[in-house]
Amino acid sequence: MGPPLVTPLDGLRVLVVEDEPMLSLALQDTLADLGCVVAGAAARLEPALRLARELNFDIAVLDINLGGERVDPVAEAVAARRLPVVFLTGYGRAGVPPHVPGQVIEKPYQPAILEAALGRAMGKRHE
Amino acid sequence: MSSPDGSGANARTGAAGGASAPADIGAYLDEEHLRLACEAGRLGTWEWTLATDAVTWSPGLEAMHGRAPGSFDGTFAGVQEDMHPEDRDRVLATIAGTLERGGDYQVEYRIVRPDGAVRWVEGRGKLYHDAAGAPVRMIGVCMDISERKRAEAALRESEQRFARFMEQFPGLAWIKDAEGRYVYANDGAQRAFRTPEAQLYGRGDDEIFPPDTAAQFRDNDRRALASDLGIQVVETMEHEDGVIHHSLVSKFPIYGADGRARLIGGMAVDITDRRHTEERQKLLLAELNHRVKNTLAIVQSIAALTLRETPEPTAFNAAFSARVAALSRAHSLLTRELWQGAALADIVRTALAPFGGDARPEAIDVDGPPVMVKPNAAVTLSLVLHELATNAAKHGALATPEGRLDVSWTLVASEAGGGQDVDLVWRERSDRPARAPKKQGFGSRLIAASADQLGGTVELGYRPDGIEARLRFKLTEPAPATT
Repeated sequence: MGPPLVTPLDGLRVLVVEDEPMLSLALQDTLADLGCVVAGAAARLEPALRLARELNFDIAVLDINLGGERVDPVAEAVAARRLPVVFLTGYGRAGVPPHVPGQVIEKPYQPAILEAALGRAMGKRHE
Repeated sequence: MSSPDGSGANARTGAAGGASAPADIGAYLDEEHLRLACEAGRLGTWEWTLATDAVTWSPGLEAMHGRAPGSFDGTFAGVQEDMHPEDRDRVLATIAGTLERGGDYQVEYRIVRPDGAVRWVEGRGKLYHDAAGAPVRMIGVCMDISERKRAEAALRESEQRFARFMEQFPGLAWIKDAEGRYVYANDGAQRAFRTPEAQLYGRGDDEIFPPDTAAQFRDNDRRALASDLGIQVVETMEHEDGVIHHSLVSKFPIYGADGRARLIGGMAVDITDRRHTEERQKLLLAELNHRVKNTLAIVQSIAALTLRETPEPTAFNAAFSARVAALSRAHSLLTRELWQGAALADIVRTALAPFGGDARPEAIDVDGPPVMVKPNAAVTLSLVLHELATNAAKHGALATPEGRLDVSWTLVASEAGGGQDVDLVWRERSDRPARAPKKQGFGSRLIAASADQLGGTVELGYRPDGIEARLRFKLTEPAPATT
């Protein structure tokens, strides 16, 4: 028997990178509802990159587009630490960084979609 | 009758003579042959003796002129009579020239028959001289060429029609022979090929275009020749301005009378603009789709965040609706500016409009230098200002008649990274002291999160005479970070 498809998210430390303040706040609330801990949040590329390299977290939820800049360097920094990524996109799947594997959620999304994506991302990590 | 010395039969006496056979059977046969030949070839013969001005016509010539047998008066004046007035001088000049220089002449002209019908004829004549070298007589033949002239005119008309048609064709049109050499190109094609017809006709694509372009054209020509109905392809060609143009091109074989493809026809319409428009439309649609999704995501987030703070349905509805309305006003403002951005002053005034900005203009002062704000930042600022104004209308300066609100901004040098920051101060003054909320609400959370997005800082001051909010954010987008 393999590991369970969905792992409990309780206490999961999440890095949130989302440039829309409303979306970021709602995402942080949803994560808190799911039992996660928002380890850090950034809305712009530079601070996001710093957090991706230095912050203590388990998984990153990344908006693809940060005020016109692509999140790719942040995704690569997260991947370099062998940590999983969940992408948020308003552009469809075509905009997802090609080199970094990760779950993809299209905006707008329901909390249950986020929960499932986080679970799958953590589950894959444990395989 | 055609012997040069003038012993031939006269039209009025009849070429073949009476019932009795002539003595000279050889001459008779010659005449008979000639008569048959003339009838078959629609020819008439004539002879003009200069000394006497006597002109004899064969019966065929009289018939050609539409005259009753024997009605020709046998003079040179009579000959001129039948000539078309517009052609007469030219024919007479030709004859005069022959009389002067000797030799043969050939002239095409119109005659007018007694019934008014106009026929085209071709006259050929020869001048004979006596032993002393003086001109004695002319003899000649006349041929009805009306049919040929009609065919020529029809052909000319057809060619003119074709040329006119092609001139007005709003595209390029050309014809090449089976070896790929141009035999026709309309003005548009000559212009587009930058080659006038003198340099174009007789040349192939490889002599006119760069190798890649020529190869492209040649390959399609081959396919067109091998096809029955022709082909439709998109061809590309660099224009003088260096822009690569795309054309929708029809190429098709043109068959000869033997059913073999003799020529390749080509017609092209430039679709470069159309393609650009289509690409732009696709981009706009993708952008619109993105914007709609983004807006839905924001509305969804507003709903979720509002519900947390005000779960009671009536209160939720009021707060939620007001926030969506603020978002909508921000969108209207941006749409007016074609989503290029918005002036900060407009953003502030638009956000304040529902809170007395319109009804009590004396209570609110908005002041600052012209600043353009990018679309995303404009939406965020609109929502932040809406939260501040909502609070002011409930608990602050806009809740009392004496309350005053000043929104002002200045441009200051950035502390890091060069460029300029906008330093915006929201200052309320009233008799109501501001108090920090017990727990962070929607507004203060949003303001803090917005500072992150705008790449700035925010300070909220709770003064005895009202709130002072200070937002400092980058005027220009930061340079892309390098990894």
